[in-house]
Amino acid sequence: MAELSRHQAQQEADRLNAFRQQWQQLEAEGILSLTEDQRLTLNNYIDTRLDAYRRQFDIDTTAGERQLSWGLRIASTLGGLSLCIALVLLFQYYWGSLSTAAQVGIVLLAPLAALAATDYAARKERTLYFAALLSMVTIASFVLNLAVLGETFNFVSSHNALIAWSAFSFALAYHYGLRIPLIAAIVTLLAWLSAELTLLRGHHWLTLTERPEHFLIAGASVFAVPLLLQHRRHTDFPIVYRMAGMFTVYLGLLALIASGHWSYLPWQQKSIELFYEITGLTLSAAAIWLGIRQSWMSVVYASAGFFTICLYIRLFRWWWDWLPNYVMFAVVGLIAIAIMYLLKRLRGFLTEATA
Amino acid sequence: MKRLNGLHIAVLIVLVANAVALRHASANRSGSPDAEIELTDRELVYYSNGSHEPVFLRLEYSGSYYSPGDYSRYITEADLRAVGFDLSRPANAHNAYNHYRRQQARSVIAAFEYEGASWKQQEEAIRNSDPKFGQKRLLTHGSRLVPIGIGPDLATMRQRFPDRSKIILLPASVRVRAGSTKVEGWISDVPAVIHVPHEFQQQFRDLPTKVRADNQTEPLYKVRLRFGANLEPWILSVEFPAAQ
Repeated sequence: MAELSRHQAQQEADRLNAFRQQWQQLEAEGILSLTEDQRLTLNNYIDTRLDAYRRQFDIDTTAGERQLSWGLRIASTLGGLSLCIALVLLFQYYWGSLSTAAQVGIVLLAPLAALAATDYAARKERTLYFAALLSMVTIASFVLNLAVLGETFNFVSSHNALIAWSAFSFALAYHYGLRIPLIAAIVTLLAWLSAELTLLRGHHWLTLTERPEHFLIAGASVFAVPLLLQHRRHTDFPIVYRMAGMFTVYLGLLALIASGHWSYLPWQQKSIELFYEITGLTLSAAAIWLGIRQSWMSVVYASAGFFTICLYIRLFRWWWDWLPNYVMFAVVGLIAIAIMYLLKRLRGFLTEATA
Repeated sequence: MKRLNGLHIAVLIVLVANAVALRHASANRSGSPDAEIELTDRELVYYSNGSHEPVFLRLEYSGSYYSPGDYSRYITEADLRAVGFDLSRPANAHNAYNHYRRQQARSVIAAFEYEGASWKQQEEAIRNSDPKFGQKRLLTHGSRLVPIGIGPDLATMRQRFPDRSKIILLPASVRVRAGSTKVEGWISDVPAVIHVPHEFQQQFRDLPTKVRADNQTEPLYKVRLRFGANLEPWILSVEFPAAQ
């Protein structure tokens, strides 16, 4: 049990609860018949395991606890965001009254103080809701730290702050096992990678979004991280990498499908858009296949959604100009029904594969 | 020795990032400055969001968002080629629009001349312009900083524009478009916001008016700016002639 992460312990607890509900249901229907001893042994075993998980990991072992936990997560996220905004507004309101030395001292100490508070909260409370909230404030403090220094000394804007913010967020994420800092770390890393590629080609770094192909490469790299790096301690991190990488690639593809003139490819704009439509359809189909193979349900659903969007764009471009509008939408509706049927078949296939 | 954990690394990152930033600021201000110039409220527009908030000055140049002007004659096709733009297609060729639109902005060093020959030409053009376009106000209120050239690096540009009291060099980005007769470049992303040091902020806040009156020729303030080795400016002194 000591080798399990908190995430794995929660999954194990959910499976035990589901198993208990299922065999009780089967007993009630007369399909399964257990002796009193067997029933007692099973119940004792499940209760003992759940109790041990609760004591070691402070996880949710009942439906009521799960709902409360969701409430806590939402409150933690909203609270964190509100505190970040309050911090920025506080800085803005009083900043002009302070000398330069005081300003530099305060912005340097703010992230260190917030980090200390995060660490204290993480030591005191195993569920890490307060630590998650404070980690958002810590990251906001560090962003403010470098932004204010840049403003005070009139720095020429640079993308280097992005890599500092990313490294800081990664350190927080991996030390405390928090996903919000991980998301912040990945987003800033993606921005830095694109900015660096832009700079290497002699362009201004602020045009980092003008070549979506950068994000295709960066997004694919992020998606591949869990394949290269085992996450034995933070078993809930791989899904964050996959989703972040996948959304980055899909958003980049959508940008190129919508407007091919931002591509590196030296072709006609319409040819580029068609090329990326085909790439998008192929890639999302491949991702669905991979998701089914690996039981990555989030990858399957997100890729199915993207596949549908690409298909709709293609249909719109084929038919909008020459079909009456109502006919076009009727055909698109029929295609949606066909996709629903296919997905239902896919779902059935998935159920058989995991059985 | 205790192994470094994520918390130690996070603290180290904060300390190192701040040290690098402060070192950068110090390096900019040490050694010989790149330029030193005195500008007025026409070129440095005051703004602040409240009585407690910091005061900034926004650098305006002829042709920027708030200061209409045409500097395209000074950004030549040779300049644009030198910074890496592909000008293989003539401006009036088929599909020239898309050819130039697709090219990303380039990082450049831009030269801005203060009250020089370029401003005299602009003044002449404004005096001869139709009054209905309302440009006459620029003669007394518009910025006298005019972009007069771009180049790939600081050394090349200082060799080309050696006057450090009249010409300031700033990092910028340049885009290209197909004009009617030639390819044109336009400048953007000039670092335009200058922080006012604490010791001068209250004097700016105490100004009775932040914008010059229509018939006023005397400046509201004169600011002496120095540009360091990284082309990052700082304010040396501020004078308020109207208050004296």
